[in-house]
Amino acid sequence: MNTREHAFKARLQGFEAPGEIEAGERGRRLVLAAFAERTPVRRRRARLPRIVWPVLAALLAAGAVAVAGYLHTGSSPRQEHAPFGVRVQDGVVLSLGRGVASTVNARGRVRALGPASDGDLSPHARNAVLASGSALVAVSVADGQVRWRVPASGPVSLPRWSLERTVPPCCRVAYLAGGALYAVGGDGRGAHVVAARALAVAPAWRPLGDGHELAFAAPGGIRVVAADSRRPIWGVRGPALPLALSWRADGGALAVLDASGATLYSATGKRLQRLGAHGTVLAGGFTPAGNRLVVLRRDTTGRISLLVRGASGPLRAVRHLTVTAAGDLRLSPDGRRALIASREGDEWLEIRLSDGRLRSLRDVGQRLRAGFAPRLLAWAG
Amino acid sequence: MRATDLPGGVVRRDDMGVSHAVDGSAAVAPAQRSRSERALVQSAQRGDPGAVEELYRRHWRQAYRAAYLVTRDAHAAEDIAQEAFLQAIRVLDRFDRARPFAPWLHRIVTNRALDWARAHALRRPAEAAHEAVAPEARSDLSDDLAEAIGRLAPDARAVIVLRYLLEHTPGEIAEMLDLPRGTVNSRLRRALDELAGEVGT
Repeated sequence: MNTREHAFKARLQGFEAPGEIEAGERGRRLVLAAFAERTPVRRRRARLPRIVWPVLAALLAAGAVAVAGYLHTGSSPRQEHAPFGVRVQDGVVLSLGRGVASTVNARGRVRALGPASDGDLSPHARNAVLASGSALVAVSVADGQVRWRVPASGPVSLPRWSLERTVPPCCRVAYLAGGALYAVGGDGRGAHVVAARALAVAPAWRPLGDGHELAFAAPGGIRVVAADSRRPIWGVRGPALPLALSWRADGGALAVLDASGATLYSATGKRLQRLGAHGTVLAGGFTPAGNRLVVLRRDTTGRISLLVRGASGPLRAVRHLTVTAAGDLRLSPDGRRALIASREGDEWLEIRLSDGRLRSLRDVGQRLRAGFAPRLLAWAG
Repeated sequence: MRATDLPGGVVRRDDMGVSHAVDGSAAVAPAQRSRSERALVQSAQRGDPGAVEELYRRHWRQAYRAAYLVTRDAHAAEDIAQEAFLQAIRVLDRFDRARPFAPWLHRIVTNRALDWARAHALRRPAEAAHEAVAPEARSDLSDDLAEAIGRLAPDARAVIVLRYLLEHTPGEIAEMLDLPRGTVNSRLRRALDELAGEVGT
């Protein structure tokens, strides 16, 4: 803070709002009354029936043998938690809490993968790629082992794994580091600069593209390049503050989302349509399968809604949410569901896109042992 | 109300017997002050109303002032701050004690206040975001500082309040308001420039 800021802060800290003491007393009574009326959750201490102890002992012995096996081969097992009841409908979800990336699968099985600030899953969720300080790290989802590590010139962010249907087949990982956009092979080889300057927006691989086509936000516009050769394919002047880029599953359209809506472009860069969100866009993108465009929006009254557009027409609300702070939006591999992380309560909201039916995954951070309100990084499988 | 000198500063006691520091905050006894926020949240989760009251006293003033500076409306500020605390009570059992309480509360207060200010501006199209304060709200303004802040756009008010009243870093503000960090920094700079002539900072 400079001198001007310190002076302003000092003045603001001394500010007294009108009626604050009286309002404070009214609020105190209300809050204490609400607290007295609430039904606290009883934290039960687990009691195991006597018959369970021999079984438990046998399981522990088996576990000890497994650990000994890992130690014998010189590698260490990653911690895998038993099912905690947070089950996504299908596939694998990559989450981030307390600086650690974890996966949870449809059976509720949780595996901690390692320290990260961001990450993504490969198309079949066999591997995860993690932004870990100034390195990009690929980890096997099955056993938690590090597959490869690529050092970078600065903190890595927004890694995105290409889709298997790209040509030539599989795989590249795009990521940002030091303000530049990079790509590396799925085996960790051939890391190279794709663009010297890129904005902090997740790059998007074009499905079914020819030669690993990658869309990214550059200063001044949206660019699509062939990632391996760095050959420019097309570019348009984009919004001043792009929020997200997302290709339709058939690779035929690119959605560029900004704070007020989405603009659709053809695969050759022709502007197709502008879709207004009538509020502030928080997140959005095309479903990985099908042709739905999904947008999470906060309207002018503060209400957060999930909007869906099918093959044509405007964005329509399929579900209004009661939370006032929601962030990450991830779409299921089959394109039928959305998963939203509430930043207000410790829950994820799973919503069926066809009819807006909602399932709340409560206490998710507690169950995943990932702190309060863990982030949603990816959903694949 | 009467003023009383106590260790820790001058306090006054209101008609309900609640002590307040002269700066408007609730007075906190030294023994209570020493209790960590984590311990208070833990006690509250166990059902201790004293811990809830202590958390309330520690955070009410800043929550109310933040909401007031963003909305410029005392009634709205009271509703918003109250609702934030009620939300805290509702999710108390699920709250992670390892996380600090204040940023979580500030996020809710600021976002709700911002939503209210935006909706209010839309409901009254004649009153543009940068226009002078409405007559009925003017009576609530206690000094030129609040009045100057009130002339900023709601988004600028929110970042100013989060940075200089609630003392969050630009990175934390970006996270709270779902904004890029560069946007937060530029809004702070612009807002300070606008305020410089008004309040002499």
